[in-house]
Amino acid sequence: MSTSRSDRPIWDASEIPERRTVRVAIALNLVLAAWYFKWLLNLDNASNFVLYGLLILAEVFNLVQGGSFWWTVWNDRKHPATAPLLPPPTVDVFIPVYNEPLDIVAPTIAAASKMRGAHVNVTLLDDGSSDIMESFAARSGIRYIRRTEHNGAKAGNINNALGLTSAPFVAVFDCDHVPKPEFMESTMGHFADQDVAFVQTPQYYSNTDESPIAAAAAAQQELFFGVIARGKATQGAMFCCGTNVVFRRAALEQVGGFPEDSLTEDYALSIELHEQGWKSKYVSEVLAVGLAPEDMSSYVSQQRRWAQGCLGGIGRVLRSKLPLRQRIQYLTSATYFLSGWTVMFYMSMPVLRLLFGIQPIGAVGTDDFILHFAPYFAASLTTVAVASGGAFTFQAFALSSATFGVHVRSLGRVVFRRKGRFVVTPKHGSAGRQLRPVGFTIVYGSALIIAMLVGLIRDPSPSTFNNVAYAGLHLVVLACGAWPALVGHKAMRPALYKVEGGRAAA
Amino acid sequence: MSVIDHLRAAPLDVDFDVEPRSRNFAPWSIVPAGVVALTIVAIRADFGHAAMAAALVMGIVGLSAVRLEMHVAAWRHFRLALVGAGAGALGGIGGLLAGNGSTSLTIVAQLALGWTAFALVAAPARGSSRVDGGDRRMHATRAFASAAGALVVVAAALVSGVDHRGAAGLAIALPVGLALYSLVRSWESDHSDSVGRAVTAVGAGVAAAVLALMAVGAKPSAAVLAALLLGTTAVLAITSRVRSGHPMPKWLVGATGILALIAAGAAPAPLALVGFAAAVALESERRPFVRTAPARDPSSRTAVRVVGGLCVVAVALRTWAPRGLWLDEATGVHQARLPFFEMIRQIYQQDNHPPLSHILLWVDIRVVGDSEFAVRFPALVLGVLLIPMLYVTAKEFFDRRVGIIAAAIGTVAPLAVWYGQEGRMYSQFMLLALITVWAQIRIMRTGGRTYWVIFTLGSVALIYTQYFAVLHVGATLLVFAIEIIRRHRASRHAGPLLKQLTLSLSAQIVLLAPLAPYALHQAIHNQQSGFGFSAGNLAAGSAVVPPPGIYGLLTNIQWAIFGYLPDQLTTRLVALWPIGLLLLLLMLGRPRRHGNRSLLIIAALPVLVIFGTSFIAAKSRSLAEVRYFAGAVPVVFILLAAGVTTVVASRRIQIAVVGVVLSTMLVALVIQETSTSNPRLYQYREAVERVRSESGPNDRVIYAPFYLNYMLEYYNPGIPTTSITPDPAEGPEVIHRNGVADALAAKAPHVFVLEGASFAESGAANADVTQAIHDLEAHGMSVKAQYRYAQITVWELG
Repeated sequence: MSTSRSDRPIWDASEIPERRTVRVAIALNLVLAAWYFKWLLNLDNASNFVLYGLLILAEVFNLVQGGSFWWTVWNDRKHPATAPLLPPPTVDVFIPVYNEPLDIVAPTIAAASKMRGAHVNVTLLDDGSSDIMESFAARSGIRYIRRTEHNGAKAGNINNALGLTSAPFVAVFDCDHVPKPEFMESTMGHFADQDVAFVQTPQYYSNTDESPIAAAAAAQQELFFGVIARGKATQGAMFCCGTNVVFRRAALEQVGGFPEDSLTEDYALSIELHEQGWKSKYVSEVLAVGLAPEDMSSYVSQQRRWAQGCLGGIGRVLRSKLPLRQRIQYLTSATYFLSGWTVMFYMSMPVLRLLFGIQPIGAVGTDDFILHFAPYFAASLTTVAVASGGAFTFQAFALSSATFGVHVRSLGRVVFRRKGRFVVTPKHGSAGRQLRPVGFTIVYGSALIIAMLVGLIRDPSPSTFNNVAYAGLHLVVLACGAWPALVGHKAMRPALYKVEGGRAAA
Repeated sequence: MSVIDHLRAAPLDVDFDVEPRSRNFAPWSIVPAGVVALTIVAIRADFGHAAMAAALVMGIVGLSAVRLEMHVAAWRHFRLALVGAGAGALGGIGGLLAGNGSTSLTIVAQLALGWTAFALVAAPARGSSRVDGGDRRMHATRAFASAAGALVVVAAALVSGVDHRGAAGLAIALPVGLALYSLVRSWESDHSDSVGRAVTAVGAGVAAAVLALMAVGAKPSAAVLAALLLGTTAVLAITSRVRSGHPMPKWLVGATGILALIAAGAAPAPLALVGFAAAVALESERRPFVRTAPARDPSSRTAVRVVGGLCVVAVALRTWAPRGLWLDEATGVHQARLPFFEMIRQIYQQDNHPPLSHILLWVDIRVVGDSEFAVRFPALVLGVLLIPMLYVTAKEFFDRRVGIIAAAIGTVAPLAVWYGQEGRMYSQFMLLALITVWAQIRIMRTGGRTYWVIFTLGSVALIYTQYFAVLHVGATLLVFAIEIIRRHRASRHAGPLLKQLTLSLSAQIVLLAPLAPYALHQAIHNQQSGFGFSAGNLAAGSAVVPPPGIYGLLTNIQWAIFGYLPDQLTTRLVALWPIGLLLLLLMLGRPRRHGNRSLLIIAALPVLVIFGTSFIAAKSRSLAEVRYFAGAVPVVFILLAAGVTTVVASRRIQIAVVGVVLSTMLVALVIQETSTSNPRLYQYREAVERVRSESGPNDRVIYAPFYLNYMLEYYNPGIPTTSITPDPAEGPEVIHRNGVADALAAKAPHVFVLEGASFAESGAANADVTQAIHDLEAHGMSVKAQYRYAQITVWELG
């Protein structure tokens, strides 16, 4: 049985960029943001007032997101592993599954059973209907729980198991996250503080060679579980991320277990725990190795669930009695999933200018605009690059931009109270083209191309060239992000296990 | 012993993945190329030209195909035939241009074709691996022999269709290219005799170049061809001997014979070319074909071959200088024609440049002559030397791949070509600046004394070349300072570096001491005369320099990469600035590469200081111009090359991106060189030629502003010339001289009034000319004709 995913050289989540450099970059960013907004907020620059208003809205939104990022990374600290808790406690290790392939689940079970620093009772929580899982659990010597009623998705599955187990601590691993042997040794020490409700560790994706989408998704995660998570943890606002986490059972019981009415049960649970005065901790070391979504469909499915769950939780955050700093952290994390709207707006601007001649800002010289905007833009990118230690890549940015439609659609579903469905992220990618998940992107890309052509044919002036360049910029970003879905990807990881006649064979 | 035998015996230092193949080159595959070329040229020109072009193309395609088949094992003959047809079309166009007598375009078209052949010949050297020694030697031998062969073919192709000026350039290009080839190779080699080989090769190249130049002065075509023959053969023989330890191979004797035929002006030159191609084809049948596996980084042998080829292309592009001299060049020629100390004194009193480039021009004029080509010869040589320097510097910072890309960019970069064609100091500025950067990285790697000497002398020479080079030297010192601090913080021993830097600085100060009073006097004198650094309205070319600011900065960046283009195009290219935002985004998450910071500092500091100063002072707009930070331009090329390899991971996409970059630059280069809307184009030569053709012996030329005197001195319209307003530098005794009065006093039947544009934004020249025409009309003359050229207008009154 292979656990090769945990053997790869991995990203160092505890590596902190030089603090002085980061703070200089942030300070510079603040100055340049003030310089840009002072210029932008001059009404004399406005051309079309509707577009101008929307531009201000988008820019302010980005500034708030940026400001929150700067504030978070300003507080970047190391959150190292703790000394093991003595005597070793007993921990129920839950591995929820829902018809995932056995080759994904098996390494996780094997690795979970080998964790040191605690007496672990590994339990496979099967929300599916596969006998293979049951027989595999029996062969592996772990407990197996299968629900008869499948309400509450993953949260319901865990809550069901909570009622059937009794250890004082509960660890949760998604079935594609293979824990390292030192996981418990490195995390359990935090529970010496009786106010700590849970200890979260990073999600690290090891399958970055399998597909460009996996690589880009991994880079996005490395930004979040690197500098952002460390900053949030410093402010006591790290929230639970659903896997690679250990809970104190008492805390879970106090809030009635995982909320079953949310698509992001982890996020909702964290709010409730923090509201009850519990603390959260973060260990910024990779202690489990997982798999990123490998195709566009899987990625979009995952993002859609996160977006809808977090956007749906904004009201809960606003109503909560959390301290201000925690509330701001929760809000900025949730509102990140509105950023697709700004992407859509920015892409629309050159299209509107080239096709209809309307633009938000007019009568402004190129010199003036570049002088105010370009330094702010460059400084913002530099801050992200420096603060993340280079973890955040262009492909991650492009993938995020190319799936802007997820954010747009998710807000619509939240506003119109369309209830989402908990969809388990597929663990194996699909090799073919996947145009449907990027349908929105294709439409916008086509609009950009048409606008560029029409603009150049109609009026090949320098102003048109400028807007064509903007459109080209967006087009390149969209194309790079959506490319794997447009062409499909060939290299698919072979299954580690074949399932023959209801039995697993290596 | 045949060439194959003796080269088989030669020890070689490369490994190749050799795979014998049964399929041999099919001579018939050259036929389509010949037919296509023949047809195209026959339609548009006479049969003689058509036959010549067809034969030429068949020869080149034959060579190319042999190598191509070696390189790409999977290709079939019919595909080769397709390639041949494509090359034939190209060659046909070249031949057609030759038929129409367009010399410059012929050089370009045929050299492009020649380069294709050369690149294909050089290509198989890529790769590494393990096979038996005999085949390895054979492979490398063939590559070498064919590289030389390709050069010979290129030479033959060129001399078949160009005039003596182009041929002279080529005569210089070939030996110098080969010399550079050996020189660069010697840097790559660990052999103890590498320096000796390089020196030998360079010596041979220089000898051949001098010989060629002397020949140009004596008898144009025949002498040049003879020099070409001698130079090429000598260098090939020398390089061949030192490489193999054996005398010149037999086939070179054959090639020499062919060249001799051409030199003698014999008609059978096309037949000889066909014979040459056939000989290569026949020889190829006796050998196994090879296939090489692609490697991550090109082998040093491949890199050297490619850079050698790029040098040949660089010579061709820089020789292609259809424009005449402009004001500064003409002024430089005037100064360099003076006796040495008189020249130094005049520069001291009237100029605002340091004297090194003038001294070089002074020597050049006495050795090479004062034709347009001769005046620009130093810039050409230094501009070509920039190519291998780009390679070695980029390789030192990154790797060979980046080196080759940087060299390729430098070869076709319009700005580098422009200043490689201009008889001023900017080509020298670029090369010396890059040498100091290279020496600096070597110092930081090895601490070697030799590199300190190169760095110190290079920095001093830079400042003796252009005062603005102080900024470049300052940037390199800043890089040293950062390195010293970094070493100190890292608890590494920073003392030796600090000590050696102090020594270097002291030496620089001592060596620059004589320049200080010189520069001070120039500054004071020019300031008082209204030509100083704050006199923005009087600098030549100021009308095409954008005001300092962001737009000006972007325009200069555009110039640095795409050269001098018509204003309409420039404004559109500058409007594409959001691409810069995309480049910033593309850099997200890319690994920081060693050396990026140093190169960025060296590239950015001079630009920022110049723009910052101009922006703050707001009156020195003429300073905010790319030529004043020309030293940063080659560094930008290296960063561009490194950026491509950093941002694009896939090898194939890298090649595509580099192809797009080079193609775009080539298009920009063609526009720069051919458009009469190029804001830096000064058609003085054309204007004066027009005056010469239209004027009679008693006619007069009057002109404004007075700066045009040096230009008129150089191009000499053949009739008396007088400035409408006097040159203040001539002193009070001529202050009352008036061109109009002189013309009227001489009772000239026709007066040609020349107005140079863009020198004085105040419109003084325009006002003077308007007044002069008015005065002449008042005396009964009228405007008979008006001729407009770039930056100059001619009125003919009679």
